[in-house]
Amino acid sequence: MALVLVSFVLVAASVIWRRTAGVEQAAELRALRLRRAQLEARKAQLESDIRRISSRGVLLPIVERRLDMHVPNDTQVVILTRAPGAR
Amino acid sequence: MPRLTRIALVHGALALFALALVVRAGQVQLFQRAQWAARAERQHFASSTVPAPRGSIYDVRGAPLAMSREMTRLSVAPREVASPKALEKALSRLGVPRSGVARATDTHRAWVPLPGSYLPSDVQDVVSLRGVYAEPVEERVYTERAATRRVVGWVDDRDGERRGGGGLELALDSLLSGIDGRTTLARDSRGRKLDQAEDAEVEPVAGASVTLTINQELQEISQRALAQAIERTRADGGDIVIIDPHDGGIRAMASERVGDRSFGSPVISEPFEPGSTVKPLFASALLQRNLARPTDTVKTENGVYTVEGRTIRDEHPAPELSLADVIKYSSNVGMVKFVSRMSARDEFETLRDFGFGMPTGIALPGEAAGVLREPARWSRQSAASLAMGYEVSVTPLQLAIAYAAVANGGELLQPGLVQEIRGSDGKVVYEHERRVVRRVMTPEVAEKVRKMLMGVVKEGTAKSAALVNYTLGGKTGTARRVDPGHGYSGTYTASFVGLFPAENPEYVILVKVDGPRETIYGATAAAPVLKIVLEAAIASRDAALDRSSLASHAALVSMRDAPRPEYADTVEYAEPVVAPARSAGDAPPVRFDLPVAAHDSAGSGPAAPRAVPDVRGLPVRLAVRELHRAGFHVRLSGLGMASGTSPEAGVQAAPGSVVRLVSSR
Repeated sequence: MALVLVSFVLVAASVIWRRTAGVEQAAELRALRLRRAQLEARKAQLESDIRRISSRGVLLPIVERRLDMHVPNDTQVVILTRAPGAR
Repeated sequence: MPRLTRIALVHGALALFALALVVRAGQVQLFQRAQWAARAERQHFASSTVPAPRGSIYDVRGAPLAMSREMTRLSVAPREVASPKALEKALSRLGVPRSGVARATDTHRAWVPLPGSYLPSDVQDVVSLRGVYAEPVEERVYTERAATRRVVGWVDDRDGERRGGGGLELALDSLLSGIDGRTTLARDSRGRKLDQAEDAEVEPVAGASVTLTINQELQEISQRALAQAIERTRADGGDIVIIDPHDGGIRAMASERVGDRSFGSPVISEPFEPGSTVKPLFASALLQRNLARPTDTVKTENGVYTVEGRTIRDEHPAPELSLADVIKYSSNVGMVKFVSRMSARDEFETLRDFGFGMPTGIALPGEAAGVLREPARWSRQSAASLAMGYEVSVTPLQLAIAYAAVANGGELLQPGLVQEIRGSDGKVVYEHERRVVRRVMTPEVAEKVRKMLMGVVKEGTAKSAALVNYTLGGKTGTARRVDPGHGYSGTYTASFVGLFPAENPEYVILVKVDGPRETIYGATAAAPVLKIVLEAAIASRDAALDRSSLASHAALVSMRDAPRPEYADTVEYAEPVVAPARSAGDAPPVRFDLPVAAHDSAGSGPAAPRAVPDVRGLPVRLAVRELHRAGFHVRLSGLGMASGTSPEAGVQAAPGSVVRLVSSR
């Protein structure tokens, strides 16, 4: 009888330990998922900022004002093409 | 009572109790099993929806226009807050308005949701405080909102469910939103959800990603040019549409309305009377039906002609004009007389065949059909009115796609806004294909009309749009605007539709300016805008132009004949240079003009040799700049710090000769 009781306690303890460990790992996994989501959100934010700041709408007025640059007219643009086979 | 009887009674009671337990256990286990199992399931587990990530929207080059990201929404239970001071500080650092902070620490309130959403990394400190609850929410992020908001649209939050509210977000909502998943979470003794390591029972299916035909660079160029034009002409608004005439793909679709913050897309939803821009379409019909040749002439009555009791006037009066000149100078009298060779039915069918009066079928909500009445409903003056672009209304997109037929050799195409849709598994579920609606003219007729349009830019009403190195064809339009309920008002719609480059167009560009006040004409209000857009597009590497094809179309024009830029005194121009083909099979020669720094612009003869500057020890970038400033071409050899030049510093060399810059690594 005592052996049965001890076995029962051991089995029950191992089940509880397994469940506790499972819940802990799940919490850790969730924290990692959350961290990944945070980093992805941050990355998206930074990429969005880079795109916004490097867009024509933002950049053009600044370079026109501060660097005295301008959009070239068509005669000021040289298009070079590569001959076939050229490296 | 004898002792034995009492014991028997107790034993009997215990036996009965045990029996009752066994019976109840049997009842619970055998007869009520399902009911109790369901109850236990409800108490121990909770079903939870796993939202599907909404698909992204990209431009034709793959630059994201709309994306979703996970943000955090905060709520506070003020009565649970242990340290109000710490919470106040943390919320202030987060940028929560002062009123929001005050509400969050007001213990008279049980639950305070804070406005806005925050980056998860920003709220880490706040959520660690007692009484603060975080909830993940998906937020839609749009790139360059001003330029693309009318096309891409927006997302609404309806009862916690995010759905497309307008534009493509609405039109493609079922594809973008994906399918939510489901998971089951265990609960603890207090009913709180426990984390679970297993994946969701039903995995969410992410929304499809959509690639548009729109080119973000071109869209921004158009939006900026339009905003400047509206400011310059003090107009009420305007639109620009750019279409690839070979596949019908819309490359840019910009609209601006003064004081209007709506998200609608007027390019497809606001029809207007096109005025003279329909004249080339009638010219094509006349040529197609052999009712006229480009050289045929009509008497244009010195610009004043009365038909059916209505007097028609020309801005450029002439006694007689050919069909080509009627287009070139936009003669109303000439066009009315030429179109009188057609029957009313033919006139109607011409415009109908170009797609007027019916929606194009573009994948955006709210497209207008425009107005094109049947001949049975015409007045006596309708035939003449239509010839001048009145009594018919078209959307900017309809007019642009009609001109695309002239550009591509005569095929009316269905315009496309979506280039490709990919499911979450990466498979292509839709791909834009060139779809011909009908042929509206032969390639020969289309070429003749293109030549007429080139004449408009070269010598006619649209000289202000002309480029120096490239050919451009187009037609201006100036039409009185209709004031709803009051007939024609004193304001105008100025428009210009251009084909670029005219020989083999890559773009069809429509510019429309509504109610300009500084100048009312298409030639002065709209045509210069197109030139600005083209110049910026030519200068941009990402504006969807086939640059090798463009280079072959570049005219060999001396820079001396070109308009001088404002800083012309710092630049002198070499004669055009033609790079010789290396063999008969080589690509066509590259033609270009070379601006050369004008250090000796005062002298008329060849510039004197000068000393190569000493650039040793300078970073390569600065060294190159110094050598360029001294008038030399530079050939780089290595990177890092400049360690020397060949020829050496101080040696006299001819300006324009090549100096090799040697660097440390």
